Amino acid sequence: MGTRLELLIAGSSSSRHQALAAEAERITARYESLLSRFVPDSDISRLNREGWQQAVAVDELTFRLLEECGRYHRLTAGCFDPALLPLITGKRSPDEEGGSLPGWHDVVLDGDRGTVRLARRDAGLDAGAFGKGAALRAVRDMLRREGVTDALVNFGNSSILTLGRHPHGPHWPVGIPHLFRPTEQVHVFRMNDTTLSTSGASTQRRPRGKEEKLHIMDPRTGKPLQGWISVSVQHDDPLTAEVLSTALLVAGEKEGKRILRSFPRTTALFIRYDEQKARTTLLTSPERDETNQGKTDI
Amino acid sequence: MLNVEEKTTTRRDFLKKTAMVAGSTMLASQLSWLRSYAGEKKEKKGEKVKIGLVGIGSRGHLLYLHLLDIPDAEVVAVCDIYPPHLERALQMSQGKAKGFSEHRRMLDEMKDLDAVVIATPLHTHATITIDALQAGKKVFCEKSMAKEPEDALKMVNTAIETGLLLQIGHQRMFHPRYLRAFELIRHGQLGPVTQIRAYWHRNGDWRRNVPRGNVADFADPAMYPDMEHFINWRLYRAYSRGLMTELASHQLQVANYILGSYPTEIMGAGSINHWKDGREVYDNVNLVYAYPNGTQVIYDSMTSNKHYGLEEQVMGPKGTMELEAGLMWSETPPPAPGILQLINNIEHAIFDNIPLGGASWIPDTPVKDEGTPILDEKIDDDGTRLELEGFVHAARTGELYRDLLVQGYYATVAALLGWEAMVTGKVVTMPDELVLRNIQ
Repeated sequence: MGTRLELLIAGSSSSRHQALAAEAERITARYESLLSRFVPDSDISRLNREGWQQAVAVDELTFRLLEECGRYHRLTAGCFDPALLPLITGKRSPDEEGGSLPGWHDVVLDGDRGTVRLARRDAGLDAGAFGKGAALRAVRDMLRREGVTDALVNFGNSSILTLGRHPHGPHWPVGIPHLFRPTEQVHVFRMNDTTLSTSGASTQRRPRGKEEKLHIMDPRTGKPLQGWISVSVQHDDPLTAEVLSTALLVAGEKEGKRILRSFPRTTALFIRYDEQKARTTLLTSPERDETNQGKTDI
Repeated sequence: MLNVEEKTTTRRDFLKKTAMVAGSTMLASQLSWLRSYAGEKKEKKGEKVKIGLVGIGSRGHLLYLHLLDIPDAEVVAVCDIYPPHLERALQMSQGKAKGFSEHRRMLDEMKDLDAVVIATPLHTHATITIDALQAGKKVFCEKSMAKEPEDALKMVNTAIETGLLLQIGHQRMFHPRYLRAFELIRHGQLGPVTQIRAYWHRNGDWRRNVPRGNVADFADPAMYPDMEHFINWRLYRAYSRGLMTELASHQLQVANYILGSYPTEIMGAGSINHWKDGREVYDNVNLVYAYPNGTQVIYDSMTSNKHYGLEEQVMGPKGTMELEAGLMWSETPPPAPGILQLINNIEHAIFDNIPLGGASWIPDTPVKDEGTPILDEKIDDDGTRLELEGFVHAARTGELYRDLLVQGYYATVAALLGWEAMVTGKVVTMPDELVLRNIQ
């Protein structure tokens, strides 16, 4: 996935750590082999290539993940949409005449057969907004199974998973550095067994090596988000944290509040940069799912 | 494995590419040989540079190997007073070069020589260079220029008078990594350079095997009392200034170039504290060179410990460079990535916020405590091959590389004045009569 994974396990011996790191690597490699559109024979790549001609059989792991994506798509009122590939790659321009914008509605899952189909030729999936979270969830489950109690897993600085607490304090204190003054921290999350995932948008393309960093696409307009904004989401589940970080970025604060009613025990931090000044909004959803209980004041 | 043809093209293209890359920058406009390559001055088609090689000992042998590999160069004469070395050179020439045991004979008999390459012991550099220039030959002379400052001055003046190329063997001026370092420094990467520290540490007696024989058979016994003096000339004051002329001058040249100046005051101390074997030159030298802008260069060389090797450390308020290792550092590096900081905190029982969470569009700035390479490309040549290519190129185009000559001169003078400071125990000032004026 082209991202560095750093595993910090408190109090483990070197050999045990090596073993756990190797296992974590194996897990992320598996997810990459299934989900990366840069791996030619991954499920996603095959789907993008052949899925409009015929239903494509995918690994059970992939299928279940796509099912979850469908659920997230609904709960975020479409703000989370992993089927915007043609817009990302520029194959389809948002202003093009003729037909609706590509999106999740083009992805057809057949639960009986475990196959996936694309409803039109220029549809496509990109796991960039959920692949890391899914892999991280599997890494967490592995660490728990192995009896790890205190750990921090940093996936490219954009997704940080914690287990237990910092060896010298009651939690893992993870700060979000100010974009323009990296020695300052805009906010500090106190984390115990939660994952923090951050998504950002910027008006500039920031090339990173050979791979250009992509814009975050707004599925409703088909256009990239503007301005320097980031959203950091803390949640028990790594996949949910990652999904919401993009969805809330698309949704904005107001609509984000509404979306959070479907996701209890979530904290979302919006940071907007205006002339190098950071303006933050912190949203927290309550313990219970309030969506079925009428209006709630968050 | 590239065949000879390919390898050579690659090197020449590399030189050209280096010049092109530097072409639009400060350095290219300041360095004659870069300008010359970038300018694509027309080389005379098809004419090889006919070279007479004088002094084919360990260094000369290496130069010969390089010259054999440069298609535009043709070694047509080899000259060495020491029969075994001459023998070896003639074998290497495979019949293509004529052998001589005396350089004047070579100059007299080989009228069509274009250039002379000199790699003899230090004390003969001046005589051979001046003779060759006066015979109308372009000269490449190994560093250091001479054993006495006045001789070095005479060499420069003869080059000016004859209007011929005199290039001194300071290969770092051709080395891409050094050029890049100079470039970056001139662009202010380190800020003003406020100190340079250079050293060369080795562990060894610096001796060659002394074969049995009668030195009078091939050399002037008034000059060389015995084979020991002839073979181990580096250890005796009649022929050398030891570590200063044989090693230090390279690094002093680099310091001079970076500071854009020459030292005006020199002080230091040297001794023989380990190799007490009858040698006359110090086995450890320690000097401070003071430059007019208030910068000091600290230099030391010793031969009883090799742990620190060799290095030129260039320091300024914004950063540091190590030129031999090819690395650089910033004084204000970006904050350590969170995990390193976290590990550091845990190891020191510190509970502090870890700045980790950030949108993935903030570029990952890895900490490189080990330093950033000055040049990403690996260069398998220390500059010797490149400087010889540069010499051949100049010989064909008529370039004079006077700026390089000035570099070579002040490097030699700095080395020699350092020697004087140690021998006299006094602070030595750059004498006015040694300062070059109007070099063309």
